[in-house]
Amino acid sequence: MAQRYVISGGRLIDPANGVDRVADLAISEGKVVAIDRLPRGFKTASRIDASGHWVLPGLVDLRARVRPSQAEQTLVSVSELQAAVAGGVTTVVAAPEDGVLMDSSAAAHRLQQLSNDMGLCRVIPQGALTRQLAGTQLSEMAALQRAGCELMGNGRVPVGSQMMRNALDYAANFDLPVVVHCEVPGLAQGCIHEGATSLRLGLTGIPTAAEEAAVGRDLALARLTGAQVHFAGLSSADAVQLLSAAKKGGLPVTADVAIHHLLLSDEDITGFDSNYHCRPPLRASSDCAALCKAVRNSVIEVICSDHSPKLGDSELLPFAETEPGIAGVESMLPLLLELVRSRRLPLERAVAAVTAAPAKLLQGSRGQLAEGAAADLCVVDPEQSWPLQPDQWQSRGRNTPFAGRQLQGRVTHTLVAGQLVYRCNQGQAEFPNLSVDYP
Amino acid sequence: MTTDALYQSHQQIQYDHRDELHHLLTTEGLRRETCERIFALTDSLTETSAVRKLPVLRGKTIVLLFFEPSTRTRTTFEIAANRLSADVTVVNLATSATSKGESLVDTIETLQAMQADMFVVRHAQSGAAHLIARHVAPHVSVVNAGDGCHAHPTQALLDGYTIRQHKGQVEGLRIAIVGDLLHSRVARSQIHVLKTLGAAQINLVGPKNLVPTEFEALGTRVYHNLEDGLQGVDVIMGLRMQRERMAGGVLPSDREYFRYYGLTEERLKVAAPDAIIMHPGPVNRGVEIDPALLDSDRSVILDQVTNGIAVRMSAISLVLSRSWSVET
Repeated sequence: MAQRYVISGGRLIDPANGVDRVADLAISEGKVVAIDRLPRGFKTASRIDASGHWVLPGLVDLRARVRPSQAEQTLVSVSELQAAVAGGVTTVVAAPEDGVLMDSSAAAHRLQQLSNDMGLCRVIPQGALTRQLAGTQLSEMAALQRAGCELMGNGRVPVGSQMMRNALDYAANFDLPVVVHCEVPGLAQGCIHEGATSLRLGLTGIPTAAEEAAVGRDLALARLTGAQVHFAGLSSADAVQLLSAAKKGGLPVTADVAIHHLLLSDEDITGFDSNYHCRPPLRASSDCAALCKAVRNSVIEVICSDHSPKLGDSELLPFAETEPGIAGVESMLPLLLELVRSRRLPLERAVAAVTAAPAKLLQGSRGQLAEGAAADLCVVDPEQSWPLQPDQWQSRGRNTPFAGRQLQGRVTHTLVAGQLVYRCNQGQAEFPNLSVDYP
Repeated sequence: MTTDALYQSHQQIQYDHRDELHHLLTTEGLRRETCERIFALTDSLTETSAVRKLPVLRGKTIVLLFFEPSTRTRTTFEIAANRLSADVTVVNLATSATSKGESLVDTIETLQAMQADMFVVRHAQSGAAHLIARHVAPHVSVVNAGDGCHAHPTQALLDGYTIRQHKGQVEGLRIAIVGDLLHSRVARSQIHVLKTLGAAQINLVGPKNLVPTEFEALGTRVYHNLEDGLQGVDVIMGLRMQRERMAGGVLPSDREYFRYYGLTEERLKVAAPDAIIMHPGPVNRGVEIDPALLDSDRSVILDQVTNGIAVRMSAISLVLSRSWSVET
């Protein structure tokens, strides 16, 4: 029989249900069975004392890699799922990429099977939009949907206009949301935002027009096809403006932004530090401010980690030759709370952007903590102050521009389907549910 | 002058804890007194017309690491290091291990075993010299001999020295830099040196494709019309036009470029009467500059070449004299 838990005395913040108050949660059979009034028989349940802490729905990370790049041949690494639950994330959507094409039901089943076996967080495959991501033939989207792919996308591989039109038309038959990355490849030969910093560093820039033009095309195709399009990883004020106008016109599209684009700009790139190398690039500080505003106004609904752990010696290469990407599933929540403390985001909107809003794009009742919902949640000590030390991370990626930053707010417990999968015991990470096959 | 985080980071990596020049990577963040010390040293070296071999760097090893082909810069560094009595090794890496996937820093660590005191580095990627400087042992210095489109500090210093030689000082001068600014490491380094030395005005001149308006953030003025940019200037610095730009679709042809942006005696009429012409070489005659102008009295291009050796001797000895004081 699955373990029963009582999480007592915590401040329950559940934007999906408009809840923000101190409450006790009773958990049994993988579900939240009661809030406030504990049912009979719960006296024997394990108690997690959350007084002074916050209880949030488990975070839903729409974009995080579940294996480091250059890693051994594997679909999912235990280290990255440990990182996810240590960051309070209970559901991760893994995008298709080179080496993990996710264009067959078998691959989708395999990814879910492997992740389930680990006993950490849920992993939902994002199905490939085209076979082998090659952009020449549609994938069997309906089959992929049946195999558990709740979203479709072509990763970061660009798709030609006619092919994208076909894919959106087809996905609309099955109400499958399609994730699009927005960059016109011909305009994106650089490695950094095109502006004063790129000129000073002598690095080839990527103009915001590369994003704006791609967003423009895909908004037009969303209108044409009626497909549910999700714009991933927006970086510029220009793109936000297009998106905002389209939404005002009633187009039912959604969008996300990576947490680092809300906190950093190209002005932060010093000394050719390749930890700042990401795609799309960190834009101007005015773009950063526009993105925060867009999240505040729900023009951009979702914040994700865009966790991209890299192994090995990428720091030993010149900036332009390093692989872009920032690891950050473990720092997403405290960085989000930094945005709240500095009054750039209200707490409720910030929590919704990593719980209810991304869950809306997925099936089921994730991202909320009503009675009857899956008991995916995290407990957060909002006062705990700690320095970000990548060498202490669960993730094998150490590539973060936030190393050394003093963070506030730390996940102390994470439950997935009513199982305690992560506990921070006096600074020591414990994974009580981790399968013995993954020591 | 911009003294933001990037500027300060350039300063931090180049100076040691006693504020002495440890690496010479970029002219951004380089202090005015450092530039002037290099110029004063150069003066003393050029006082005697034939520079003798000086024993100052006897026992020091300087490794020239050229990941990119170069004749002029490599030769002048080699001569400069030899005249200072250093042991010089040239490692031509343009076609060796690094092109087989060995990372830059692995290469450096291998070369560390050579017990070099200084690496002079040329690399096709911006930031390569910074990367090497971050990874070498604390007693080793790095001099950037050109990294991607980013910086070429010794070229800019010798240009500054040549201007000072002909105009007395850089302070208060109006200077035009003409050509492909976007891809020029030389121009970027010139801008910072000239600003540091107090130039009154720096005009960047060329077609919009090669001179983005964002350059004005560096405290310069951008002109897309040659006559406007040359108005009243005391110094005109031409840049080499890479012919790949034409093939790459950035510009239509040599001919059309020369017609609108080529430097000719006629176009120079709007400049100050005693304006001098400079060029880092090698020159594409008839593309960026009229051959007649090259051979005129205004041209100080050969002085630049001559000063190249003495300025590099000064820069090398200034950087390496830092480690003498560690020992004594």
